[in-house]
Amino acid sequence: MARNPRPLKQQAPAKSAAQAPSSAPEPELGLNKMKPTLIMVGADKGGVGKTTVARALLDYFASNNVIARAFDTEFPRGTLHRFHPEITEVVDITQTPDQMRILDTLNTSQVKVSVIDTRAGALTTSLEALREVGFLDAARAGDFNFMLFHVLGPSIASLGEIAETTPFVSDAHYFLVKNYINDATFFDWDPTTAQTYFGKARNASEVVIPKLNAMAYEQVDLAGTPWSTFVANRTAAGEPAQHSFTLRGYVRTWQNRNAEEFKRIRLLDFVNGRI
Amino acid sequence: MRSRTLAFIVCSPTGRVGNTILARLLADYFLLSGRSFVGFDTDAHEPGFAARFPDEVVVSDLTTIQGQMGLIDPLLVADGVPKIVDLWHRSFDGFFTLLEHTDFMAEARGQGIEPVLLYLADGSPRSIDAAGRLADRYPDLQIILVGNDGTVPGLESRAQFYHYPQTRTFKIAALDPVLRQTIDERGFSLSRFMMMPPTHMSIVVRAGLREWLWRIFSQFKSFELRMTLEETEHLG
Repeated sequence: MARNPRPLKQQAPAKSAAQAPSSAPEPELGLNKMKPTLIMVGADKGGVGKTTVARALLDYFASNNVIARAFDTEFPRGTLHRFHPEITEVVDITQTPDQMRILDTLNTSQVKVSVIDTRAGALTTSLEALREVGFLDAARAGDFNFMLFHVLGPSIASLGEIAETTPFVSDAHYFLVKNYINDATFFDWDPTTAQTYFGKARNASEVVIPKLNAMAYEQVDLAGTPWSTFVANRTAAGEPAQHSFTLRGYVRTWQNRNAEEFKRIRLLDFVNGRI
Repeated sequence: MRSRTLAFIVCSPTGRVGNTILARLLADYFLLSGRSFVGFDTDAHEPGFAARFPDEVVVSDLTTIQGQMGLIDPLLVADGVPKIVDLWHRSFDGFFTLLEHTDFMAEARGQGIEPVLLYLADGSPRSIDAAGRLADRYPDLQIILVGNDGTVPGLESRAQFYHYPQTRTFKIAALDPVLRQTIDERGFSLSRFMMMPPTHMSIVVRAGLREWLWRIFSQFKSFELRMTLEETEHLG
């Protein structure tokens, strides 16, 4: 894998971030070189597959030995929680106690990567909340890694979302996710319009989640397990399962393609502070 | 050492080259040697192979996910029972795309399944091209080139035969039209014929058919023996 030897300008002394706890990690411990990373997966519309993308991310981290935790903002009952119950907390991101649960623990938690699956229609409000508590400033100052995976929908409304979101994330790593998982006829945007909007998201790069066979998707959904557990032919409890190989094969190939895509955007380098 | 489970895939990207007869010959070869097999016919419209062996062969329509599961999942069962796929030429591309999308070959290796491609050659550019691509894509895959003199006479002596990847070959001799008619009869079983030739049958037909079948079955037999030898651990 290509290592970028560029000097890291984020190594500036810790600025007084709004919620930075006093017990800052000691920099000489190799383990703590990893800055906390917050990854937000969101969209302003429902049904575009945010949870699928969050699940793909969690799976990718797990298979690369990056310990991650997740927050599901589909309060009170979370879809993400159903697939990754051990590492997922269901939170209401508009409530202060829950914001504290996410942000205040970013530095103290042993787990350095946190993935937030934002509720449908709550992306802008969530970003506002993050800005208000000073998180976005702290991220800008280099205390945290912040990434935004913005899952786009097939309609022109999605392009409007980009325009709404960009003011918040000029410094974040901003990824526009085209999610083809359930739909093949997708993204028939007018090229000129698209160009205008995409032009606003200067730093954004594109991530493509490829199509997955509908029945394979459905069976993983029924099984309610992470993708890799399904591929390994296990139940959520770790018992041997009876999943069809054909479907497992489809999921595995799909996962590999996702992994390539995440590798392309150097996701691991980013959470490990190598970018 | 447990022996590998063989999965024969009888295929050709072009039609009318004798897929079904080869699948049938193989099936009868196993029946004749007192073994069973599990067969698959991917021609959902006119399942000729399934019609011959209604108890052993299932029809799998590869255009549906159910059909794909009905083929791929049982193919990966390492129970020692040979599997025979009669791959309809129209599902040729779909089948190999499916293998690609499910990473079938890796799983087969892991499960102790040995896929064997019986590739019916006809000398057409499409056929040569597809064979070359398969050999490049799966260098470890056993590909056996089958020349069927009944459908493509004299192919093995023609120049284009040498454009195929260099692999082992099987040969099916041309069959006299009268004999052909006999074996095409509904309900005529090759293995039953070999075990107990019907007494009412002309001795000329019997001898001719026996000769034809014997030559083919002995090629299958030698293939099996070679596989057994290759599996033997203490052979230098």
